[in-house]
Amino acid sequence: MTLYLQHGFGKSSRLVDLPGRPGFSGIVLSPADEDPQALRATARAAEAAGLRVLFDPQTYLYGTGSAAFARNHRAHNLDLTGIHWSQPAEATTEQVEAARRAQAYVLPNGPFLTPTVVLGSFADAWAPLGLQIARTASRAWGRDRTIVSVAFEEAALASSDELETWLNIATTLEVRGFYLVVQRNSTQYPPVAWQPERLANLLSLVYTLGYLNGYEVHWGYADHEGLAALAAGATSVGAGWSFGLRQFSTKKWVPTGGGRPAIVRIPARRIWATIRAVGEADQLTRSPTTAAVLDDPLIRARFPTGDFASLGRSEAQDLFLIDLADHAASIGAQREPADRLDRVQSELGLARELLGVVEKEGVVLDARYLQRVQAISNAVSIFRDREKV
Amino acid sequence: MKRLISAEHVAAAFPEMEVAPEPLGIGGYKVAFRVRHDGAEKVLKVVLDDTTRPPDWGEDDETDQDPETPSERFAREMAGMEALDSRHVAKLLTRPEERQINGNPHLWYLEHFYSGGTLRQRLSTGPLDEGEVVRLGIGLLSAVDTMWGSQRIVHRDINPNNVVYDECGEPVLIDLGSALFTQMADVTESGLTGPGTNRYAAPEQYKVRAHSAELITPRTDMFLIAIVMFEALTGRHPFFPAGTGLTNYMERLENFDELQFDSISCHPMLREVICRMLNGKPSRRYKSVEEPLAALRSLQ
Repeated sequence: MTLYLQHGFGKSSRLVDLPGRPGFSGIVLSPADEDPQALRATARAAEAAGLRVLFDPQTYLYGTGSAAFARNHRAHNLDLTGIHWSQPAEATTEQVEAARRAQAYVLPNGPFLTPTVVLGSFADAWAPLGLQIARTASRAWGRDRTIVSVAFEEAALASSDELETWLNIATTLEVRGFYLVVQRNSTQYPPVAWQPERLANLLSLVYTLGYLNGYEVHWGYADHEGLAALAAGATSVGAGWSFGLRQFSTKKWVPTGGGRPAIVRIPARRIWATIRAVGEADQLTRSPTTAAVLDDPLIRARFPTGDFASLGRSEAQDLFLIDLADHAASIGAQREPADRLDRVQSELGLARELLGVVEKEGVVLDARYLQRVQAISNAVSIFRDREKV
Repeated sequence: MKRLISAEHVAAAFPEMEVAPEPLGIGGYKVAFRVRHDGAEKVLKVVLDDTTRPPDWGEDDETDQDPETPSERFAREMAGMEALDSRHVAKLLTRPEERQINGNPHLWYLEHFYSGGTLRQRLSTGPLDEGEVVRLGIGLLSAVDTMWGSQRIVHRDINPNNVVYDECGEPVLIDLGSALFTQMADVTESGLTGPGTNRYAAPEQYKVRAHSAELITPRTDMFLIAIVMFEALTGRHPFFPAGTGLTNYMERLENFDELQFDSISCHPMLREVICRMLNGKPSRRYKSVEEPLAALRSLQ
């Protein structure tokens, strides 16, 4: 139960520097960001570094009607723009084979992720197609080499009834596991807080697939919410160095005219957030009471004098990953979901208290930190109550 | 025009057997007689239809709810019994043949006679002890394991009348007439769209639209086994306690009240196994029977 690096543009030397640190155990490759030859070299480097490698064929970009475009997909022969919920069976077979070929070039022995589309709900017209693709892939690739991709809108989690119906079928699949990506409504960073009911449904999904049915469950682009999923039974959660690799949206692939440089952020594990190095972290260290937010060995070692302005963007990204991986490992160290969830709830309770103290001391932090902590905490409570965990 | 048959007609049609004067049991499409044949106790089963069934041969209390013709059910039952090899699944002694009974052609065959009677008969004197319930669970789960593992068959009609005991006290599952054969083309198409037997059905068996080979799996049989185990342990049905009717039945069926166990003294593992198999959501039950089997075997 650990962190998988969500591969994307600008990997730099991270595949050399990060593996070996606690909590890193895999990488999810992105064919959009490297051509087949380069991606194969990346996969080999990752394997040499001891990481488990998955290849996300990212076919959820198609069938959405959006203007999403993935730079290297055609080089990987992963252009599935014809995918449709009413397509003939032969088309499904061809798409499954295209996904396998692209992955087998990079990862000859698999496992392979199935192609999929983004579901608006678990009962929409596309949902059966995803399951048919999964069955087709399982028959063609074999149980142990098949990981089912499931991409869906956050709103799909609004209906627990639809999710249950889908789960009743999904849990009959003879496959190794599931790779989940959830399209968030907003691409802001830090992420907007989840609606607790929806996150609770996601935790139920993870728990049912992972803990009760014994599948591998990988949640890509998960950020801190992924820690709760690890507690509920996920095998791994993914997060990457850039903000766009920490929460999923197909908007990431819609070409734009550029944007502002990313704000440099520093991990604050005690409040389950990454906060601004300048304007927040430096404000907190002015008082011993509020400095407790950053009382963490990783941060103390790097900033002995509180000189947060010295933090560069790339180093900040690495710090985020190192901290999240270590955090994931500490939660994953508990054997049973109940113990892991106890720990998560305890940490979130302390985070709420700490954020209350900060507010009383007059230090202004982004309101989303507290909102996220409350949302995750509420979601875990709802989930535990419902599933009797 | 067909004529009704009676026990006397059956006895007359099988002079080579000593046929008991009263039927051993009457199901939805056949009648069973205990017989003595070639020096051994056996069960003679004769297939009926509505035109030959005497009015006083009413069906057993837990009535089969199957709209199919006897021949469809019969074909499935024979196919299942011939294909399976487990001490926990009933065995055929002879292949089906046709014989004239009171002037009508009837299919008949012989089955092994299980001398221990039915689970229903055992429960008529009170609940089983915990060890017997564990043994019952292991036997039935082993039967399901064989049916699914070797032939992809789901029984769908596990209830106390369809569980008998052999001479060693081991439970044996009978009557595959409602079974779903997911991989045998000639008997796959079942017209059964509801529960096999009232009160012994999983929630998904009531959902006609969802009724398919994809959803009816060994998890369905697990639910039925758990009903039977709970009833064997407590003497009462988990969703139909005495004095209750059909009000909110589906809601009750989908939400087993685990607090019912609070007044029962049993091993926590046994409680856990029964509760998980009684989960109204198939996805929350065990993925395969191996896990509950291992758990129950650890209690022996």
